[in-house]
Amino acid sequence: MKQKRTIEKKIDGLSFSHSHLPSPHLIDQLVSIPDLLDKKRNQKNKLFITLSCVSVVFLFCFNIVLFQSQSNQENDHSFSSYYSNFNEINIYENE
Amino acid sequence: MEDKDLLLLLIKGDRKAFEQIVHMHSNMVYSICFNLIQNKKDAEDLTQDVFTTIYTSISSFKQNSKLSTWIYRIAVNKSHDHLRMINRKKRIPLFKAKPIESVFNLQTHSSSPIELLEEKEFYDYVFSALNNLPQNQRIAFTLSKMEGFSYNEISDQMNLSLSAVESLIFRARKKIIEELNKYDNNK
Repeated sequence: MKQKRTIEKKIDGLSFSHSHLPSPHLIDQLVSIPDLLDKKRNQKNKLFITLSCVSVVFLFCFNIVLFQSQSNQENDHSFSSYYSNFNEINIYENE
Repeated sequence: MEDKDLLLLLIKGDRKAFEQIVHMHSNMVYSICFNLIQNKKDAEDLTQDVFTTIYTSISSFKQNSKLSTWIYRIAVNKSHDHLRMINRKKRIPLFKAKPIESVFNLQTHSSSPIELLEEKEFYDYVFSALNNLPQNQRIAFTLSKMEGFSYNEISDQMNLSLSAVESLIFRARKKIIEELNKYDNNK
């Protein structure tokens, strides 16, 4: 019983250490958090701008290629129709 | 400077105000993290994480409590999450447990080396009993043993009612004493 009381007393008198303080190096790091976050934000912004530029350029090139291929197709189509008409005329003439 | 002024400056992104908050609260935030996690390196990382959260989400602070209570609540929550992550990792044998460092103030009144050894052994047992407690009990008990925290403050930090905190600390204390009695009987 006496032992139990001693243990209880010891537990109640227990205190957690405050001698473990953050190192000055950690404090410096904490103080520079806003700069670090700004730097990260700038990097993110730069990355976003670069990606946007790349995607705009890509879309522009893609559109040009698409437009060119479409116009080529149209040319082909008009040429083939002209050619077929021409053939038909020739057939009638031969007849 | 008062909390309100400091808060206004901080919301505006004032570096000096943030620096002042770091100097005012870093010791306590680090102490909370270290006492709950019991590892220096992790406590440092968590302290950084806490202050990053403070800087980025100061605008979400609703001012229902004191600024310090809000800051310490972030520290407790982050430590709680970290402990949960460690417990999850413990189940996977690939991860090695990190070394645990003593968080107690060894108030030694012992004169002889044998008494000193016994006292160290006693603290080791308290330590292992504490680590076997459920997380909420462990956090409440640890905070109650840190200087300056009243039950009211602990209930604010843990977002629990006062009676819940009292019951957690009571149960934690009981379990630790039971464990130590077992150890004493086996001796």
